Amino acid sequence: MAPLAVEPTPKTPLKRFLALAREFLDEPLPPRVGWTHVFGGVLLFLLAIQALTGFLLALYYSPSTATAYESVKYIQERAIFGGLIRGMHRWSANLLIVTLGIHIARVFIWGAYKAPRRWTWVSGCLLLLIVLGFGFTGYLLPWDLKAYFGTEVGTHIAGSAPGVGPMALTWLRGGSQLGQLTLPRFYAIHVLLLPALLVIGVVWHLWQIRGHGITPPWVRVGEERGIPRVQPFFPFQAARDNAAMLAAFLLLIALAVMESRGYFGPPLGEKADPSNADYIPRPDWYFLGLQHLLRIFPAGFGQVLATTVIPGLAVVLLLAVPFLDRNPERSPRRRPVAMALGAAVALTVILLTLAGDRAVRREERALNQRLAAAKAKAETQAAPTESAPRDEADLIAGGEALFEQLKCGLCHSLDGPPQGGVPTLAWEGSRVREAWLRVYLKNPTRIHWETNLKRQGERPRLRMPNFELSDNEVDQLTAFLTSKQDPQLIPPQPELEGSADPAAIERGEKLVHETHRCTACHRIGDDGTPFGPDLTHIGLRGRPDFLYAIIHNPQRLDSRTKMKNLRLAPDEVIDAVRYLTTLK
Amino acid sequence: MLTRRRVLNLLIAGMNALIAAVLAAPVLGYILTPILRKSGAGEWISIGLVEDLQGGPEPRRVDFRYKNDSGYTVETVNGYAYVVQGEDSSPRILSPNCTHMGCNVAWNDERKRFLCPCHGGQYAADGRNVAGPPPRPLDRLPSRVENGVLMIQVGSHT
Repeated sequence: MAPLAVEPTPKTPLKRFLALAREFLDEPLPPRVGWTHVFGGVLLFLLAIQALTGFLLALYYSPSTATAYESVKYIQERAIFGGLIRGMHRWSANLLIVTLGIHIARVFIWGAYKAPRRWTWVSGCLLLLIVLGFGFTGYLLPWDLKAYFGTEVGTHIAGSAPGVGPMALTWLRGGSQLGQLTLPRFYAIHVLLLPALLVIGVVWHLWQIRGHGITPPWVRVGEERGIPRVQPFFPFQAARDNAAMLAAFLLLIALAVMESRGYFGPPLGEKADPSNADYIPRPDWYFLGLQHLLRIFPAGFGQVLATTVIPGLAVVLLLAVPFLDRNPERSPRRRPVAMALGAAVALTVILLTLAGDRAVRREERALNQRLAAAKAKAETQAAPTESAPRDEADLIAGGEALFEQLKCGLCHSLDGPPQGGVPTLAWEGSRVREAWLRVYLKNPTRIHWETNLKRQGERPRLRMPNFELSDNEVDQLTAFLTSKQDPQLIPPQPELEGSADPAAIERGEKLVHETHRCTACHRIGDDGTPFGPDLTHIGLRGRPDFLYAIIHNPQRLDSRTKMKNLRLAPDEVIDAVRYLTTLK
Repeated sequence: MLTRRRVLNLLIAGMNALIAAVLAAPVLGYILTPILRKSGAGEWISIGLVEDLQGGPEPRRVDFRYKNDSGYTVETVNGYAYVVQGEDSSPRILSPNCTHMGCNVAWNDERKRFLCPCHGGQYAADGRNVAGPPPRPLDRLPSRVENGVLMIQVGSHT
């Protein structure tokens, strides 16, 4: 090598930087370094792709329960090339994990973790953990069913650690449950904290690689000194690295295009819904093995083993590999024990992942069968009950008894006006449609979910619990409540019978949306504010006579209501009701 | 040795150029989505009865709420405008955004002018720019009268 001070120190900062970059790239490499050594470069390249596509996604993404899903849908469907960009981010993440596995295996087989490169291995393992952290936090962000339930389980795994678990769970979620406080927190970790740690880790890793040089293949520890350095990194190895990056890139583009065209299923599932009981949580594939441990070990201490002890030990052992393995040999042939252990670990991880995948598929199949069976049963049962009507008076009496038994009266009044935003049931049969009441009693929370989530405080905080009523109980309560009618307060409107003339509906729509702007207080679809009751599906819920009565004179039904008396003429009220009943 | 080096240099440059070229279209299209995608006109909203808003030589401030469609959320935004008497006695709606840098102007009753708080722009009651940096009169919002109700068009639709 050339003696010192042949090249004088460059004067300007730019020149100094370029000289440094050149020195970095001119790294002399030992012989027998070639195509097997390209994976680190590919990882760097994929990380750069992640940084670029991640920045692009963040341009339109909005981390809140009200907008996260909608903004991802916007990226997917409306931003130009949005589906492709999102597919690249997702598939680049998958390729990263696979490439990381190959890179770790390569380093292990070449014995490159041994002295003096022990800390290079440690820094690489920390980078692996950072990448898994990216995967875990990024999985939640689209806020679809997969994201929601995957993270529900994932945070629970962290929360099952003995002692600090419950605290960790609350901290991770930002509160007691997944929701508005969780999304920004996962987002902040995903786009601010982890990238910063990643940059530090990568710089540290590269610094050590450059400092110690590439491990000369198969040379024993301590005998590297005399090994010739046959060629510089640039452009010889750089060209190989670059070719591998190009191959990875083309593969990535192909996968992203396929993803955006739906080859791997819909790119975005249904929006997260905590009340959905028909969904099998599925973590991202590289966590399937970890999740499968939960199935292998029994409840109790076994679960602690699966969620804390085994993963914790695995991480510690991985980090400690260079300190445990004192064998100076690097050739795999002279390291049979290390090779066998390494292969066993790799095989275990692969088998656990495959088993986890199979188990999730089995659960999904079972669920689908159960759903299909329930549907078939409901269809066969529906027919006979209709043909054989039960005694109406019995049903009503049964419903009244249930009303007492379930203590519905704790919230709902049966004779007075509404209290504290809770509907009175004094004239429920005049107010709501029987068919709607039946569905609502069966599953009340589901219907109110949106409104309650969006504006707590403006709508009553209490919400109707799900009493898990049987079909028979629902029939009884429905009959009882439907019998509660008040034709004085809510007189039948013969004019509202029969089908409406389209012009009336159109006039009504104009009255509701333009002239009186009912959406100033009510929501209709995506329009309006949820200050008053949501009218999106009012046609399913409200009886036309009731709608007539409340629009005509709201204070007559509830003297304290904030609904304005619009002083409409009777035929205008008819038009408005005609329109509202079309909202289904 | 030198030629091999040169060939590899070219190869590296070529491969990276290919990656950059394949990336360029989606990245540019994605970033420029707001420019490339057409955004629609805003909605027509009613701001009151013409007879309530007209009359008197002085501009009258009207406050309203309108919807802004961002593409995935529709937000309700507060807005205001000034109703002034047009030449043909039809109302004219002035946007309160200063034509200089867009600050909100307000009518000053004592000086009988619209004053801009930012850089001292001034407009006469009919919206003409009379002093300071504004390059043109206050913009007019599209408006129409329907059954005696004054309607204006505001916001945008993405």
